[in-house]
Amino acid sequence: MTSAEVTPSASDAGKPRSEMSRRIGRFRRNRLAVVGLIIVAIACLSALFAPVIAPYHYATLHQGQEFLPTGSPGHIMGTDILGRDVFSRVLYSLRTALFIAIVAELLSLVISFVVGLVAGYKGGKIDQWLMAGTDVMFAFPGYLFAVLLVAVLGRSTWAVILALTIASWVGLSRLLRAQILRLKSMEFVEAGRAMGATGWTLVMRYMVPGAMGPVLVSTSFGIPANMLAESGLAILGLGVAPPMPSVGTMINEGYRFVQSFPHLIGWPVVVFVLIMLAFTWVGDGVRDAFDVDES
Amino acid sequence: MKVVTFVVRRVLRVILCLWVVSLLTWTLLQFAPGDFASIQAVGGGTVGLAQEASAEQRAGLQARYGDDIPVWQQYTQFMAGVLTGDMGPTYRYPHLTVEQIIARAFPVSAGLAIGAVVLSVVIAVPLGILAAVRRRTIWDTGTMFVATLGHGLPNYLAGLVLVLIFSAGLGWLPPFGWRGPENAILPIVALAVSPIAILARYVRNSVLENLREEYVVAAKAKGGKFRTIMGRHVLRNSMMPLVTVLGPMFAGLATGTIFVESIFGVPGLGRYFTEAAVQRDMPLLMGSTLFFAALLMVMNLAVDLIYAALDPRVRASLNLTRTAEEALKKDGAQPAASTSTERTSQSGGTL
Amino acid sequence: MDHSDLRVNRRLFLGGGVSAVALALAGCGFDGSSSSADSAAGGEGNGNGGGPSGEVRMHFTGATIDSLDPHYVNNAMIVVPSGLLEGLVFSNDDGTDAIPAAAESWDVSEDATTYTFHMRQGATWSNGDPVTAHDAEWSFRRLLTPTGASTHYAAGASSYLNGLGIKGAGDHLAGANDDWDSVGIAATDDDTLVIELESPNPDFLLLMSHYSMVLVHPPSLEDGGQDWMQPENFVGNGAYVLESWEPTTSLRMRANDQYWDYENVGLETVELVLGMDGTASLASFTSGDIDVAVANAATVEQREDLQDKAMQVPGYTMRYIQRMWGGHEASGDQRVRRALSLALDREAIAAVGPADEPGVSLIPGNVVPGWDESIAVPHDVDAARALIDEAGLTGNMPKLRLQFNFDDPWLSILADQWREAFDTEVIIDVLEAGVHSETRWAPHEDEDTISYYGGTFSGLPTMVNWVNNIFPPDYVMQFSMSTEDWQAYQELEADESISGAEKATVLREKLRSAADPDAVRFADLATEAMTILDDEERLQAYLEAAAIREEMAYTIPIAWVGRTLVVGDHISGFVPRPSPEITYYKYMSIDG
Repeated sequence: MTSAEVTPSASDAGKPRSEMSRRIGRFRRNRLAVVGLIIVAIACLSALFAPVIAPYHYATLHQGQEFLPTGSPGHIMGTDILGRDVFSRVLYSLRTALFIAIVAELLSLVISFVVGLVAGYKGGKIDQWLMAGTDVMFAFPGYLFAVLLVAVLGRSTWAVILALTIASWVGLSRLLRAQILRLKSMEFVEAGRAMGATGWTLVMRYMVPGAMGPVLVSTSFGIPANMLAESGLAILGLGVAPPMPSVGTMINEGYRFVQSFPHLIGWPVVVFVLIMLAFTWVGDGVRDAFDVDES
Repeated sequence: MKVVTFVVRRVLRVILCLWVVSLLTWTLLQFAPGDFASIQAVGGGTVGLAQEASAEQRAGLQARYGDDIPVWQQYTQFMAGVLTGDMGPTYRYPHLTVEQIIARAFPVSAGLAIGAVVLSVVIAVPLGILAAVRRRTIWDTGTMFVATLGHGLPNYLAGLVLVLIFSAGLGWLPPFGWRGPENAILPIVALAVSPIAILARYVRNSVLENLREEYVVAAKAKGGKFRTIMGRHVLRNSMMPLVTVLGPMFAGLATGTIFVESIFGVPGLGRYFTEAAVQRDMPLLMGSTLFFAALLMVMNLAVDLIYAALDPRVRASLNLTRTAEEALKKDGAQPAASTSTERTSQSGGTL
Repeated sequence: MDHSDLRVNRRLFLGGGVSAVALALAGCGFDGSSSSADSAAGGEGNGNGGGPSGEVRMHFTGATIDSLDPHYVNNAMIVVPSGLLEGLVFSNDDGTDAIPAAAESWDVSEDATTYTFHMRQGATWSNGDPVTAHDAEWSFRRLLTPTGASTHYAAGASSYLNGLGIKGAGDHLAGANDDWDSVGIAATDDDTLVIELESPNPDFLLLMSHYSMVLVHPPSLEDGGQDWMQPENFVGNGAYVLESWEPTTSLRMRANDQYWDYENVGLETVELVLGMDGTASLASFTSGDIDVAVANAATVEQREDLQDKAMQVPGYTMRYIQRMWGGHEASGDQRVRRALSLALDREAIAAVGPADEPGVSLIPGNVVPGWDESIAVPHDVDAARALIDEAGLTGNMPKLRLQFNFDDPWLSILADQWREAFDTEVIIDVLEAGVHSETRWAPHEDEDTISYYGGTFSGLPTMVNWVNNIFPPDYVMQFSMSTEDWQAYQELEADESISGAEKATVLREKLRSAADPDAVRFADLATEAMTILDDEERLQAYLEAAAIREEMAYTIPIAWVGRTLVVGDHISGFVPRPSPEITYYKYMSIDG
């Protein structure tokens, strides 16, 4: 730990920072991406503060006020077959969906980092074994895992999270491994090695930041993919247990009444699709910011 | 010679993988709560069995569901059936064997999958090229906006929307059933929505990337005609990676998707498979899982081979040429690895 | 040059792809590939003696049809008795009496315990074999043999109706008596089948129309395999034979030209469409793609164009909740259980299923003749609270829990009502199918919670059926046992050291000694009622028994579940009845 060792990397750190700000600038010039980010932020905030914002609890029944149309006083999006407030339920379903999607993505990031880094950096036998493992997981039908996990653990939020994590870590691990392999031969990493950085210092200081771009992109696409998968599980009756609403169950229930009370399916679909779109725009923005060279 | 060794090694790996998949499925199934008989009893609204079954009846049931022998023996028995091509009758559909169900349901799913893949290629490739060539114009943003929308639209929603418009609304197409070719139209479209979006974006990016390649820039500098450059260099190189996407995409679609099948009443594999998992129908679940896995891995192998035939760099990275080391060094990236990552993003959407 | 190459390649590629689609689709084997000729013939004649014509497609269930075996409980019940296999009798249009079918006529002995059925002369199976009394005996024997239906998960035991009261049948099925000659079913010759009852049973004939009592073709089934269900092997004595069957999506039948009443069969082809959801079903109906459909009642109410086509079928299904073993000890207190039942506003619960009616008793009074308001559970929250107070639970009411295998609006309403009435936490536990099946009969572990699970039962609308067959004496006694006794009883059941008649006796003794005395009283009354000859007296005995069952409230009725059908104007002869088969296809036709 001499100062001589710190100085070069400190001056080196200047470069990534300016690189970073350049990328942020590029992202901000992408109008759709910024709009997407705003929508995502609003969605996350409303999900976070759903208990405060929602006029009612998601399970509160209003007898005698069943099937109120959109725009009814006290129920801006109307009510469902049990007189439950659709707006509140949409908010809570968003809360569930986002929580599950984000936590599952973070978990799978952690797993993939470990697997991808170890496989990519260490190489050799470990690499071969880990990649063989991902081979099996690729061939293994993801939703079977989900079905069985939810069956074993019960219909809880964590069961769904675990199911989604297991379904998604494989791809990310391979991506990270590929990144590490690419970076291994890159000049600045070799420079770092030449300057005496070894082992994990090399990985954490030089390689991980370098791999962040693709990881960020993959994450911003991974979250909506998780939301999609969660809604699918819910439709199969394998999502979070009712009465906690989820986008999938709301759509499923709403579809039963689409020919009589279309607002029951309309609102969850509009909100859901909008958020999916927003995430994709953000993902596009991030990808452009990281991947595409200026031309 | 190299190719033969390569194929043999990959096939061995596929078999090994299938074996692990079978073990894994089996283990999960043992851990899953409930069994076929008791789940059926719930659905049938019966209380008879638990209390009234006689000893003979129990023995019969145990024999039928293999509970009269140890678990490991049930496994080996089933796997022996897999090897000899006789997996026996399913629990749920006692008059049909696993092979029979796969044999009648897979062609249906595969037909829809081919239809969906072809449809998405036909639509997405021109759109993607258009968006790339007319970059930063309304063509580009418009196409990509629609593609993004399609990407975010789960196929069950796409299916519902199609039913509402073309069946309930316009009455042009039957919403449900499997009676003739007209029944295949809506499911194919519903299945193709997401692939179209994915492919269009993929093609656009691929074309853009190639447009930036040095040789294109050089060709442009030399005053080459735009059409010639596009045809000769850009398109050809941009389309090749498509193969890597289409293979797994087909495999994902061909194993059936529970939602599209349920919505449109298509007698495909997806519903059999999902219900087998829900109902703990061991033979059908094991059989269809193995079939699924085998299909996926064979498709991946095929893709890698086709890709290798098309692209010398890939051939190198798969160690199929002598210049492997060099090619790797020169290219830096590992195409084989990157194709795999593409696969995840595709298969994520098929749930 | 490269340019044109590329174009050729592309065209080749597309062309190859398109023909691949065509090929693949051609190989798909569409369900109705042979139907074009039939539909061309559609619309002629209306079936009154002119022979069958036309095609009707109907949708009754979102579920699959997994098997066609009538001898265990499965969805075969919605199609087999309606057209594929015929029993000795049909039920009449109201579903209140029996009319001749495979039996042309019958005589009843003086003491009303012996029925002599005369088989229909000249009736044949679809392969030309005559339908004989021996076939009938063989069918019933298969039903009553413990392993008869090829070791299915819920064979005979649950599909045979104890309410029929056939001599020795119950014992034979339970393994207590394996001598077939002691069972009161015998074919004396090819044309005559004699059935002896334990005691007179005025509902006997109607119950003989139950789907488990249809005849099966012995030569097809004798080898014990399942191949007889394949369309190409199917031999039946019903108005229709199987044409194609895709368990998840469709089952098609065509008129059986060997059927004894072929000239009067209305339709050439009947297709049951399977697995549709309500929305697709209604869309298909309005577009004319299907002719009869179950529909979402709420939607039908909203849509004026559908109202004159709508048909309410009163429920033959009972939705109930059943107290689970284990949990808080207060569930053993009759006052607490009764309070839980009294607190329910069944009108409000029925309102979320517009085809449902408030389930005020464990007998669906809207369809069962003789049912009486006197056994109805009132909605009385004050009385419920008073009972809880009496039980000393005011202020420390245990938590309540409802377990079910899928989400349904009634769960939320019910939970809300309990919450409101008892000011306690009510948990709704919607469990995955396997978890539900594994836990519902296992003692509930949380000792601070009174737990119930939800379920449904269906059956023919007669008093004897709903007292002696559904929530029957054994069921009621078993569910009234304490947790410890239940576990001891199960151990006895699993004991392999005893068997046959001996085991049956041991189990019976345990059952009667460990059950709630009220449950035993119910069991005795219900069994005795079957032997009473006087109609009025017998009815009163049934009602008295039913009232005891209601008071105990181990099982709490929730709703009498009905359904809403929409039927096309061009369809005639569609007469729904409160039984699983819904309607007999042979009477249906298309108006000219």
